[in-house]
Amino acid sequence: MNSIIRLTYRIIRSALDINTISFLILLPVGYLLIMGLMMGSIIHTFNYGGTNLSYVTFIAPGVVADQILMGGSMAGWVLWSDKRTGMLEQIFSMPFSRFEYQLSNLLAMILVTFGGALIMILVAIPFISLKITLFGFLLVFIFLVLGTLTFGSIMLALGATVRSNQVFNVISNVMFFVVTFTSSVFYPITSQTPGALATAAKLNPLTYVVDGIRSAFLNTTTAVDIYYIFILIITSAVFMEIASYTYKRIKLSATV
Amino acid sequence: MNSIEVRNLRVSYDGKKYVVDDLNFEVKEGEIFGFLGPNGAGKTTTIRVLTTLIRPTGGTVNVLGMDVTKYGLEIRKKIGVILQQPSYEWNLTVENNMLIYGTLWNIPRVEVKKKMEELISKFDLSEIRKTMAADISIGQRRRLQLVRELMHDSKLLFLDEPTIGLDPIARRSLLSYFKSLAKEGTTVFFTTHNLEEADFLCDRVGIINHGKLYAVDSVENLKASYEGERTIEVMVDKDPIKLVEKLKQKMDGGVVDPSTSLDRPIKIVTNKVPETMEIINDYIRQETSSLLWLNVKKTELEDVFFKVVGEHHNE
Repeated sequence: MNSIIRLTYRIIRSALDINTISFLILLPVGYLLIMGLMMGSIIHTFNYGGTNLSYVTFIAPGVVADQILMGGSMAGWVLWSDKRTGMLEQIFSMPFSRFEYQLSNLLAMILVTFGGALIMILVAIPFISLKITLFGFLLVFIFLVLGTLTFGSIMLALGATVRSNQVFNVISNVMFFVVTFTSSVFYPITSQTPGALATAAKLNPLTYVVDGIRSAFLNTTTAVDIYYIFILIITSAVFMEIASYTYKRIKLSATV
Repeated sequence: MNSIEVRNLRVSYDGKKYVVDDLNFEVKEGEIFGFLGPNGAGKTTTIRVLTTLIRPTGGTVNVLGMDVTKYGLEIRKKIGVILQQPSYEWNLTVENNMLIYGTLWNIPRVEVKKKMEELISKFDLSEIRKTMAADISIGQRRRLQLVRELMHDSKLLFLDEPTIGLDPIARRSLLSYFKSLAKEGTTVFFTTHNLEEADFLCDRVGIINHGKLYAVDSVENLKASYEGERTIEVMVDKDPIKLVEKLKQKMDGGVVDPSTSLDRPIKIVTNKVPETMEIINDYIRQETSSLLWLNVKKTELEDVFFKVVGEHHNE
């Protein structure tokens, strides 16, 4: 069996217990049902790209995309858990490269993210007007993969760099908040959006993931969405390289 | 053939201070080599270089005939490593910890299960086999960590203070197992503070302190080189620190244990027993102190270690 598959199996089997995986999936489902439906009682419909949408239909792709942030922070959490239980140093002394460990961690998160997204789509079907095609499903998968590679790598680089779990948690929570609210998860980025927020949204890779998935859900994919894929290929390559660099320099325990 | 060859090894973490400085030694195939030294001596750093976890700052290191800086992955395929730091999959049972380790080593499932049953029975893990690793004691986790590493075959086994936290029965059972592995051709590189273990297990030992290797030889040769030496153990009822100071001032040669405390005899390794006894007598008379304990014995490995480390204590 391939090294990366063996390491991925280990992460799914041991680092992620059933409670963690359930939480990973149920929290966004809660977001979708509670926030989507509650906000939907205030904002009945609004115009998005020339189409009238219910708020829950608008928010559903955003919450699916937001799943990659959960996956990303889990990638960092797995790294910290492995540091804490000594497994990181042990694995590094086994016949695996550090890059293989990094890839397996990201692959595990892609599986969890995609599994969560599928469940959310199934949960959302009764509440939203979904027009997704088979090609749309493929695009959703591509956006989720690229998004997880980008944000997973950011969190892995963070996990490999900071010196305590507490610092990691604080930074990842702030990042989660900032990245979510400066993207198009909860509201569209339009000409009426304040300038600073619009700029932040443009610099935020999550915006491209959300918009791409939203287009796939509404079957309104255009060349712009394919352009977004190229942007995300570049961000994921850059952040994977940064994560790889930090892994090479990761501090093991301090014993002489 | 040598399993390990170390030439002029130097390691610095900050580019200023060398925690391992100009080490030279080799370990023969099938040998059990003990690496002894006090805390912070450089043992773990050396193991980290040998197991390719960190790169040396200088020198050359070959493990199983391969350069550690070029063939890290190839070396790691052939070695087993038990690190000083505990490691375990906290939310898996003891049994699943072993199974997943077998999977990581790509051992066929049938073989993994067979080996697991053999090790569980041999190392008395039956009672806790279904218990989560997070719920077992520290000693049991250590045993799991050790046993798990025996799931796969290795040509060279690195053991960094492997018996810390183990009860005497588990300790003896593991040491005997390592001995049997060496008889079958596995080379063992072993670091410990416990000199009794080194005496029991090792064919040769190296004594390291402050990153420098001060002695490398067989246990017998090291003991023989201190044949004329004797170890004096003495306890007095008043101010033993003062006695230590007096001994250090007045003794010509020899070493006094620098880590003396009230509840432990002062240990002196010397080849001038009558002169040393005279110093002790003078102290007792002058300080009106009473002698609580006195013992003079032949030098053991522990005393050799103590003397080598003590001689270079202030370097």
